[in-house]
Amino acid sequence: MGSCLRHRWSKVIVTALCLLALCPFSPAQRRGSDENERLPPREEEVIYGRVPDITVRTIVGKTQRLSDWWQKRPVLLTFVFAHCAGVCYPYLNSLRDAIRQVGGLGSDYEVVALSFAPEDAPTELRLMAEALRLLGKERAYWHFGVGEPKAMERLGHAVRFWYRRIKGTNQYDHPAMLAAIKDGRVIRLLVGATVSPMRLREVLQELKGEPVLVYPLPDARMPFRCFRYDPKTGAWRPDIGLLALLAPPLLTAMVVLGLFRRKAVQERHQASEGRTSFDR
Amino acid sequence: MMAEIALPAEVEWAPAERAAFQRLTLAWGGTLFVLFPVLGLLGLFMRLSHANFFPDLDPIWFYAALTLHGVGMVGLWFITGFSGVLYLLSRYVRPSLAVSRLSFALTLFGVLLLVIATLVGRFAAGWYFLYPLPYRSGGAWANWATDVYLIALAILGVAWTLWALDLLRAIAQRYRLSQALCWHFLRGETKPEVPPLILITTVSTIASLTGFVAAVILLAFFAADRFAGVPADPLLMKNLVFYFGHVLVNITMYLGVAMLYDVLPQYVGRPWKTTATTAFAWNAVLFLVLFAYFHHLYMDFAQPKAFQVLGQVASYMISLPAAVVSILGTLAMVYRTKGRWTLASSLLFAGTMGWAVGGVAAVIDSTIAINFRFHNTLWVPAHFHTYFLMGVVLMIMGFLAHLTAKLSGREEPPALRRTILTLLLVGGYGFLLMFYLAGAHHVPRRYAAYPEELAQGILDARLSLPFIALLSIGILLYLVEVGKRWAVAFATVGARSS
Repeated sequence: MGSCLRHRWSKVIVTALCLLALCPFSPAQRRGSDENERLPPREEEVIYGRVPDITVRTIVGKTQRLSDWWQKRPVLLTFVFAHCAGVCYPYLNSLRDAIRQVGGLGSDYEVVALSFAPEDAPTELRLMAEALRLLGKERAYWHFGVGEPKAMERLGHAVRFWYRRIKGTNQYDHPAMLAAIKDGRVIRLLVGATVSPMRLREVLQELKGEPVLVYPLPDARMPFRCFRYDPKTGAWRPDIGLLALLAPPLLTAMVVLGLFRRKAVQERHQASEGRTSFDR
Repeated sequence: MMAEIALPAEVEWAPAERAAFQRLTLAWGGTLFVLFPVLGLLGLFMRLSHANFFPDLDPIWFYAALTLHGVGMVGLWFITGFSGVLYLLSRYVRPSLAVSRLSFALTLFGVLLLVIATLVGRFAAGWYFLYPLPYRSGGAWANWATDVYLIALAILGVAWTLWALDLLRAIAQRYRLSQALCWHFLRGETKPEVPPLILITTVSTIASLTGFVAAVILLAFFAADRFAGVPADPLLMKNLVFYFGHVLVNITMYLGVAMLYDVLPQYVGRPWKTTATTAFAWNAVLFLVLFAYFHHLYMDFAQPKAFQVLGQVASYMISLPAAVVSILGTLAMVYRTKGRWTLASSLLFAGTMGWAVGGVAAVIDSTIAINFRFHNTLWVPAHFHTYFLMGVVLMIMGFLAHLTAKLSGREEPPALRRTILTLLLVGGYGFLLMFYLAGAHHVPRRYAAYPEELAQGILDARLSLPFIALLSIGILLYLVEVGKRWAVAFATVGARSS
């Protein structure tokens, strides 16, 4: 009986310890510690980092270095492969449409789309470029090419691009991403299957050295906001979080008045005692 | 030896109790002998990094050093300032020895955790730990380091809140709030007489409490994000950080000024009495210090313009009452007076004048139109190092020189005093000048190392190194001289208290 109880208690203790051990694994910590290699590339890890100046064979038969492009103007670099049955084609279409909407191609930047698949040759990439149906003027500033596998590996590492062959197919698992490069350094990364014109506009502003006002828009999970700010109009109105700024002086005033009240009460008490003895 | 100044009735302490209080004050002062050189070396390391001495060093070490140097220096001078003021106040009121001891133990523990968070955990978000960076470091440091850093701040916050509450309790035992804040002087009355030390300390302690409450709210938001995944409003968090940080730095300066009001008269033989002007100035400070911090948020476009304007107005106005009254008062006090210029009185005087120089730079920086040009340049470290290093640090060093001289009965040879002062002033202002020039050259701050495009930053940092060397020698001589007296005083007082 006693041994059984002890056994049960030990189970309870072990379970409680396990629960306690799990407690620290909050959402924020999970985000920070997860080293899964297949996560989308993280901009903060590569920002302002140098990009290796690799040699590229283009679909127009030239061999040139990446710096040949970025020395003229900033470059939007993306990674695709010719036989992609997944995100590559829709992604390039999305990038093309966003660029047409935002403008500046050729004057402010050029686009370089490189194949990361070792088996891709420039001829295969040319078909990909044709499928994009670029206009005559655009073709001069969209560059498709392939690099040596080892050089591509270094380039991919510099911008945290990764890929994995899917077993039994000619397909690759990889993120859709765009690296904005100026003077050989990463200025921004845009990650995601589509390119939002708004985000692209911000990237181009940064490439031009213009300030981009960045402020995370409050969402519904944010219970205490300072102000409700409308980024379109710049108008704001106070919100409940503003009370958090009023709390320090108000709470301090209460505490201080409480501490000093004793002295006032004591003095009143002494004064009233004095009157009593005088009356007597 | 010192001039006798007429003061209101003093509190009676038993000899052993008095000795125990003196010993505790010396213990608080003793932290300076350890932490000041260490934190100063971190500052030197950062300037060497700017001067391109460590081109291959991981920049995370620069930012970890920046964090520890910033939080450590502010904390160090706050505790030495507060303990010094507590010691001076013990003539008029009776603070609790037990609370001061508890605060001391908690502070040491908090400092240890800060060192672990930054030098072991490489927490490098800066003392201001702006949300959401601390828990989203992109792998630069682990979340446990942020936990340790925030726990350290919580422990220090508890320690200093207890300390502040106890001090207010002690003042409340003798004075009504209206008396402690000298409101009767504003009505034209002069009785009861209240020393300026009581007025300044009451104002500073009340203001510091508001800062500590802001810190508690800030830490609660961090905990909600960390443990419940509830995101916080970054703008609200930044407001709270600077509410707390700005108030703490301002209060540290005011603690130095409180020492000035109490100690300098003992060397020049003129009493510094509370007047209606003094009362008005310090009550204005109590009000304005709550709004001046808005100048830290000029770059935040979502902050309403009214707050920004309020920040500029409050920053301008706060410098007028306390600074002008205190600086003019100091000049008036020493004018045509045969003062006794020792290391203590000289440092107190030099610190007050440094506060004036740094104050002018601060007012310039708090002007919105100028701040837009200077905000992210080395002008900002230039101005806060002026009023801190050449202001309050010199004042508190002066107080410690005064205390150790008084308790040990030893004073420095005049030649050594002159050497220390020359080294501190030439080295200190030379070091600051390079910061100001770099700011004028638009060299950005918070850079671990400067690229070729910012070679001016490297040159300015290199030019500052000889001045840093002079400053370091001056500090070292001060620490050796005052350290010797401190050891004698600690032993003498220890024997008395036991």
